[in-house]
Amino acid sequence: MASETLEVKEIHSTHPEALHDSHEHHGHDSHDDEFELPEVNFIRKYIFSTDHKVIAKQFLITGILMAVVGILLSVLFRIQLAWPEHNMSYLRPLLGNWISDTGQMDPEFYLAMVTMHGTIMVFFVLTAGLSGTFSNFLIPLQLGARDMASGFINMLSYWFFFLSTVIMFASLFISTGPASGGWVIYPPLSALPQAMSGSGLGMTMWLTSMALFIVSSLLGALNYIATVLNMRTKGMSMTRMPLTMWAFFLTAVIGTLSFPVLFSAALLLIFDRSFGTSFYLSDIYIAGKALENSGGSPILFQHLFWFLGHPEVYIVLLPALGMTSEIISTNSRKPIFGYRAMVGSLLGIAFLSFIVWAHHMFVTGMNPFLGTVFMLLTLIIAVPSAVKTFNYLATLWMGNIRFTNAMLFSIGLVSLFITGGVTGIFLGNAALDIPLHDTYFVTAHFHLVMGSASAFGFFAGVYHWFPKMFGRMMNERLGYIHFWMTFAAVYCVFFPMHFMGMAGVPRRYYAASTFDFTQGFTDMNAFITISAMLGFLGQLIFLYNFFYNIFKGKKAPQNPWNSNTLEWTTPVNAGHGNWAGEIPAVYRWPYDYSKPGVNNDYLPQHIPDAAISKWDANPETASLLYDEQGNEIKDTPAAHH
Amino acid sequence: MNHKLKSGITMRFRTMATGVLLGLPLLASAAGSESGGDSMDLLMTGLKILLLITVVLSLNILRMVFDLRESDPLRNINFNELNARIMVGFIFIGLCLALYFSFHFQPLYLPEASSEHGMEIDKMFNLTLLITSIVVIITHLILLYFVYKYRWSDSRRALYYHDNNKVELMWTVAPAIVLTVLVLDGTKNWNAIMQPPPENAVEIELTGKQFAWNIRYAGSDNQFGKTNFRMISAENELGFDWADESGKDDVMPGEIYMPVNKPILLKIRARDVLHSVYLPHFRVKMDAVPGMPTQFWFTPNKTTKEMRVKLNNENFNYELACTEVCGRGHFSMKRNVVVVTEEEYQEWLRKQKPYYKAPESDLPVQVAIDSTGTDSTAIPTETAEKSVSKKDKIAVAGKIKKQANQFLSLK
Repeated sequence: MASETLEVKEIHSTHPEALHDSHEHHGHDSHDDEFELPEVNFIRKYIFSTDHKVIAKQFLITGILMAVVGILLSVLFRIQLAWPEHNMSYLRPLLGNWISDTGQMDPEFYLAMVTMHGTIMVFFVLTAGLSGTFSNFLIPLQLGARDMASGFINMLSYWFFFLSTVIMFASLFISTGPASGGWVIYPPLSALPQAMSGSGLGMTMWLTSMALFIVSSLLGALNYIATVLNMRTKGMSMTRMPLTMWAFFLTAVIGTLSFPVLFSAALLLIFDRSFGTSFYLSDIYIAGKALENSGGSPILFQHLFWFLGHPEVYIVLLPALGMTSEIISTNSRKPIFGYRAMVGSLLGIAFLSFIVWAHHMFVTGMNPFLGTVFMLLTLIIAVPSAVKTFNYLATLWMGNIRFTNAMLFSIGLVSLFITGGVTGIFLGNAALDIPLHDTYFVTAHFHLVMGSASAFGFFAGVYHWFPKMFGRMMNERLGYIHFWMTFAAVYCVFFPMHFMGMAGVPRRYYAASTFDFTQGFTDMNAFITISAMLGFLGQLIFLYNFFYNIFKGKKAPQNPWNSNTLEWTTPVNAGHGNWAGEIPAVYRWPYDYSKPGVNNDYLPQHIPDAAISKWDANPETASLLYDEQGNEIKDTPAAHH
Repeated sequence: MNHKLKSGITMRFRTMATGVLLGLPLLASAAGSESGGDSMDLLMTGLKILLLITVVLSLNILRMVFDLRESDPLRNINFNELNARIMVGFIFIGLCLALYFSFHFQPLYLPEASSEHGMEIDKMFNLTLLITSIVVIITHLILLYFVYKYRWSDSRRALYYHDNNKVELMWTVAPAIVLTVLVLDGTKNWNAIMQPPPENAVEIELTGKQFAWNIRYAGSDNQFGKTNFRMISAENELGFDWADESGKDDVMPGEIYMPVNKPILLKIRARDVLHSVYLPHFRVKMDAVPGMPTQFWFTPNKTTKEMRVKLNNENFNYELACTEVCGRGHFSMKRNVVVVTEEEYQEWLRKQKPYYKAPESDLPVQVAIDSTGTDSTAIPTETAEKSVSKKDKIAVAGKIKKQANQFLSLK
């Protein structure tokens, strides 16, 4: 393994000529500006590939498929919430005996769907699908590296993820049902099969799947960190990195430090479930029996879980913020405002994300003094978040805005980040959290700021980098419809939930019929569900647009958005190794948009000052490299074309 | 020309094929359900076929609208302009609707808090709501304005301007100041709420189990009897250790009664999994943790009667709910809460019979759960619990017989 890794790395980073040679040999009879490693067969190229771009696409497509499952689950349980009394027999072909003979949904299966929706969306879609995809795809391309530090470990990272996905997905179909205790899987509920049927085999599969997921996530994150720190091209100092790189880098750091804690939490839970230990269990009488377990604490699990769980929120969100910084700057044709402040606030958020976890636990009975501390720390995190928002707005100011699909989704993210973010100020405040904790107010908050904002970042990323991924363009107009349907649906679904939260309606309730104070939202629930369904339909448009245009889309130009970053200097269909010839060196920061003295409204990172006028006259030649004196570097394949 | 026509036809054919492929699972399920054969199934089959046709048609329409390269019907639309305008409309209308509905749904929100600390929390909530609403509205108006004003124009160039430390400092410090105010306010309230309960507080013990709350008052001696979870059984809900005399006068009513304007101390426990005591009208919430008793104290300041008058709703009741997911019956763990005057409370307390029944007693055993009639929606659970634990030293054979008699007499 070590030797193979080394070998691959060597080919990638130190022998561009070797790659070039192979291109010379194969170039004419196969592809125009595409080249391959000579010995690569189909399986090594598309399935067990070590090319970061292929791995990124594998993450992307797996993520998209899991997103379909995750969103579909939410539509199904929304049906229950909107029309709790109606006959759901028509769902029997899909859900089988989870719908009773009289057409009622099983309450445990309702919880199972809520749990799986949360798990799938948070981990499989927004962590692996978002960060996995774009970290993999963009880190080498934007830093000027031929691949990740270790292509082999990168491949392992995907296949661990794939295995984990298969297990999680399979758990949906077992007869006792998948894990059902909420995505936070608090014991004792998740530890005791007597407590609910989902805590049996379903929970075992959940834990197995998550253990593999964590392995995948760690392999990926370590690779990202190593790559960012060691493999930046000449001239790419840390402060010349695009904000995407900062975001992915910090995301990886957060993941590396926090995921192992979840692993330990899961491991202890496995011990409690299977080997009779009492880490989380004590004084329990259930199903007619007093259990032997004594001395454990369920609160311990919550501390361990949220030590990952809260950073996880930023693992999900930071990549989205990084990508939209890039996209907003590009499409405003204006440098990002306050680059250093943006980096600083990312650093601040990353650091603070580790010391706020207990704000999820204000009312768990932990020491009230801790509540004070965590309230203070939590509300501090609003400051860097506010700085980011204002910088976004300042970037738009005096810009020249193109509403590409990616830009629309990025603007949507800014709006959602504000609307969802401010409710965090309520929930981070320990005293206010008392009435709001575990109500729909929380659901509204995190779906807007973490779920939807990150999803918007994901879409923005897909629309923006689709041409680089597949060499083709997506359909802009379908993208518009997709955006407006999604934007409207997101607000129609999640905004009303604030009102339910203010009425005190608790989360994860199968029906609101038991309590007087939860009544009165029948119409609103129906409205939310219908909005969710329409939102889901909107995603079908995206699916069509995405999969159809992978094969049939218009051929993409080399730099479709007139962007400054390095990935657009690679050939349209770049092979393994990314650049056909030399890796471009970098002479400036990535945000020289509309720079005075330059005719074009962009100025790529790889153009030295001495070559500005040459490039300016002929900006389409994106692959053309210049040395510091402004001379063309002749010996690149791109120069031959 | 001919070639184009041909490729057009194949394309359309392919779209149809895609549609059919997408629809196949639907058709299959339609065929599957037809075996039932009644009119409902027929209707569903019809609907599914209709859905299939819609899918095929819409795919075709989408293709026609978006993929015709020669005569694009939408070629004259400036989409950049259009999107800028929709964005302006969207944000503006969205803000108006959000404001309107915030007021519109006010009758559904929880009424003013019925506890002293709750009223402080409400004040804080309103202050935070005011501040954050202003922030949301202003930032969105700025967003709206910038998006429209700086939409693409061929004749303009963006301003190359990317740093201003003064501005950065300003918008770092301003939120920091606002947040400091909120943190101080929050700390003050949190510390007040979480300080140790007063000596004279009325103690009520709430024990969560799947899926009901057990309520316990200390009885005339003002002292809770010792319990041990290993002694729990169907007849001994909390696992009283009857060797401890102080437990014999403990009462376990089906409703929570609280005297108004007196501090109430909730002692919170859980028997099986996590639960959470949630009294929305009093702004009270605290998890119930197996193996780790928790507590929350507060002072109710409005009686149920007063609230009924105030809300003009004769049927108003305070309620106790569970807010930590605990299994299939999580949504149904309800107890009524009644706040009364001190005299009414004492009178009610006097009327309560102790949970303890001497084994010799002829009185039927009181089983706290299910006897209150509030669990009509609860799903049958704990069948296993009906069997008596070996460890229950109190259980005597005659008792089981009595319970059976009681069950029969109820029938």
